[in-house]
Amino acid sequence: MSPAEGGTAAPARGGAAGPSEGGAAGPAEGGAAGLRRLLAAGSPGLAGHLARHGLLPACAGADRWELIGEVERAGLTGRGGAAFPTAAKLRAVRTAAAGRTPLVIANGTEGEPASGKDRALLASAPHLVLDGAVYAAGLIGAHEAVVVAHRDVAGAVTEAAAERRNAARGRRLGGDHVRVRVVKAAAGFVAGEASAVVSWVERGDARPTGRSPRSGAARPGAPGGPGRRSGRPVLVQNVETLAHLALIARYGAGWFRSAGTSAEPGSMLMTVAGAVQRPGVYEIAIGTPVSELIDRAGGARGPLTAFLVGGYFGTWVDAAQAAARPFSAAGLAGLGASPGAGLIAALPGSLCGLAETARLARYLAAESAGQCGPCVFGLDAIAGQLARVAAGQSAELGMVRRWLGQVTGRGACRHPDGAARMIGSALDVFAAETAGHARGWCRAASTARLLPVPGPVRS
Amino acid sequence: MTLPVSTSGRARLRVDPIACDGRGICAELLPGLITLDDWGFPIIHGDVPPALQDEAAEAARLCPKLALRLTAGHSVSREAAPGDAPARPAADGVHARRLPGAPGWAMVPVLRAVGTLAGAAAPDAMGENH
Repeated sequence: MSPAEGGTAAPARGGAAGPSEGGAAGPAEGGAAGLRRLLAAGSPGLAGHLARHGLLPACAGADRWELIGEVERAGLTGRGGAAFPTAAKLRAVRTAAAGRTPLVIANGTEGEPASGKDRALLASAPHLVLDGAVYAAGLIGAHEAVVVAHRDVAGAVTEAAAERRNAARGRRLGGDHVRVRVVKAAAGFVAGEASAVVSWVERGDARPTGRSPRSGAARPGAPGGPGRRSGRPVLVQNVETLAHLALIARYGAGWFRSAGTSAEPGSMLMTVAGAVQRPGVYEIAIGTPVSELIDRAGGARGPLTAFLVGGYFGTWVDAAQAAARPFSAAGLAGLGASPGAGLIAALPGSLCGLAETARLARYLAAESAGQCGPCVFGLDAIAGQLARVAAGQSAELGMVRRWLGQVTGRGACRHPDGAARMIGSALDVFAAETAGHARGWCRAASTARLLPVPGPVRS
Repeated sequence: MTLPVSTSGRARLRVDPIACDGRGICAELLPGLITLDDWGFPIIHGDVPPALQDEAAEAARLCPKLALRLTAGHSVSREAAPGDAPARPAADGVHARRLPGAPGWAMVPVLRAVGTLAGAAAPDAMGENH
């Protein structure tokens, strides 16, 4: 395997990525070794970034609606999990601003424990993310961009921002004049949810508020702490989305669409985790078959039974059914799955999917922000029954199904919905194992743990 | 997911799930329109029929946590939202129960549950951290 193909991080162990290795593919495209768009600069420094990509175009003086139109033609969608069209969001915030100055937040919280792609990007190409944040600010008329960076990479991003301030004085940076601030992300699974990120930046409270970050409206009765900007529209974008935006600003929509599928253009960063030879972060063209992703990660370690696709809010799918599917929304829809935040975790036949799911369910229950009753009590009850299923004790699976229905749509954020989705898919895909467990046996030969579940670390 | 729910501009009840403490007064005042889940938190079933408008306003006023809100509804379509009848797994017989009440509005939660289910195929994962 060529070094250019290798992953950049071992996210399962929580490490930050090293600089990307190997030769960079041109913006015109990568070769068989895989795309190198976001990680093309080869080193995280500003000099390498500018040598590779040149100066960021400025929005000042240009027709910003037309520039947003180029983003629309590119077909860029959010890479944080929801795949919302970026141009529509830019337009909505620019329109909602109506005279007020909006704020850009680059979301690099990466609360998903098995995911490493945002950290890998911020460590390998921080200037591409910062360019994207500056460009997004230019598009919507913001003067300030806040980068919320996972604690593993906050220091590196802070250094990158300082490097830019010096370069800007010497007019060696490009782009519009936008103040860039770096904030260390809060820990915890729900801290990356958009309204929680806004609340973290504005009030130091990383809990979802249930309010649209696009409107910027504060919760009625919310305590107004220092830095609160009531009613100020906020554009929250995942850091990878912004890095793609920085490339579209330079190379255009046609170039962006030269990778991926016509319905889902471009590349994406994804984390390949679990029972593969080289778990890590890879850049792929959207629509790359699942089996090829596993090959890129060095192949499977033993026969695989299932994949968890999308993240801990994602979907368990049968490994044989998924192998030939393109990794895209269209390709995975038939399995009830979606790319989510770009994660695929391979479950080997030697491990029990029910045991993994029970651990994830307990983790997600504990990661509830604790604000909404159905999430607090429902996820706890579901996790309790799943632990019994995993242990081969008598359990009320009918009640689990009932509760999965009762928690869905009942929170201020989608935490209960996402957890219910993942757990429901496990009950489907591991139905045979469930029956076995009920009779007291399990096919798995090992009780080792596969997916990372962090302890209650809080910053 | 936008789906037509009402052409008559009926009012709606919404629960603020953060403020709600599960006191259950609303379900006592509006049986049939509000039921409680297994932990005592309210599930709202459809729009408020005109005949129950006053009772709904009273229930909103009497909520000790001010977590229940009555909003005038005049749109003919809207998005599925928190506070709606929950999405129900199709296989779940327990959950397919229908509400007692006038046939004119009892169908509404069924429609909505279908809409939420369809939306669950591509959820706005964790809000929108894209």
